[in-house]
Amino acid sequence: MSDWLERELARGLAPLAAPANLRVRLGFAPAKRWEFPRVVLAVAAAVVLVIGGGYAANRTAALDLHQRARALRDLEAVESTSSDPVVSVAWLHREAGQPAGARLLRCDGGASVPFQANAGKATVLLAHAGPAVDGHTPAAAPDAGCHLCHSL
Amino acid sequence: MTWMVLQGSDRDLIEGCRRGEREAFHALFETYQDKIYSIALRFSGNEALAMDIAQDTFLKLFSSMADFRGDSSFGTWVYRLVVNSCLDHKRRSWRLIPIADDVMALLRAPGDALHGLLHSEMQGRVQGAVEKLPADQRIVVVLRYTEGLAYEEIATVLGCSIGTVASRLNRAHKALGRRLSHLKGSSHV
Repeated sequence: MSDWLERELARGLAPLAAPANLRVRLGFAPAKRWEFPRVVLAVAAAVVLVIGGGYAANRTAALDLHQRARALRDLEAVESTSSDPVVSVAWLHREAGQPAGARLLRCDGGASVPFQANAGKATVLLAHAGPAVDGHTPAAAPDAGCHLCHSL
Repeated sequence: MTWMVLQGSDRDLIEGCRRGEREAFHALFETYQDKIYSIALRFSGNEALAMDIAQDTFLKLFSSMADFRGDSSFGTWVYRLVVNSCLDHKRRSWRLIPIADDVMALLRAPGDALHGLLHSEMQGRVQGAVEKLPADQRIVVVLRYTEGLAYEEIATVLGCSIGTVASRLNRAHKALGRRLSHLKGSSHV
């Protein structure tokens, strides 16, 4: 037999250290507890922050919208108030003609509806008639704004 | 084969195991785990299978400690157990190829990456060629090159004559020489 083969067999078949898992399998070491990857935790935390931040920003904007609608009402600049969506839609049709391209921007207690009024553009602000509330509220006509917007 | 000699500490370990002392089993495991795993891996060529063989060997070792009468050295007895486990284990038709482990080991290895790659490739070829040997030749090769046992020691472990060991090794060498000859010269990197 050649020295080359002898050498390669000795190198290729050299002894190895047993893996640590053998110790676990025979009960000489506790199984390693599974740990949640820290990278995943960090990514999840970042995602939660982004989503939470976005939600908070939207909530702030929604409150602002609500305050703007209430300010208009307090200034008596409101041309029509009604908790009946049918009345409100009729008023819109009468004043602005057939609405075109109206779409709801938000529907979280205070809503704004961009409106095509003749050649101009307008925004219809919707707010509950009662005290300022956050989001939908089980008031007398809790879904009035929703019905109005979705019936446009 | 100095480790096969039953030293005083070995005798204490064996007595401790016979009394069911956990520390004695643990010390015995620490002493023999690398040898048993190495033989199992070099014989099977499969890490998962080697783990099974090593586990079986230790379970047999622990459960049959009372059967060891000291007729042969304790090391020879351990070798017999692992050889029997190897031969008893049916070869599976599939083979796991731990590519990711190999790559990670290569990346962690210091020195020239090409040298490591070629060395790893060569080891894999040698292991693959050994796996193709018949089991009786393969176990002789593993005991010879993984454990470095002499012909007489291999004969004692396998319970056969020295001539039989020499004959099996000779046939194995010829077969391995044929299968690996095309790699001659490629390992000098």
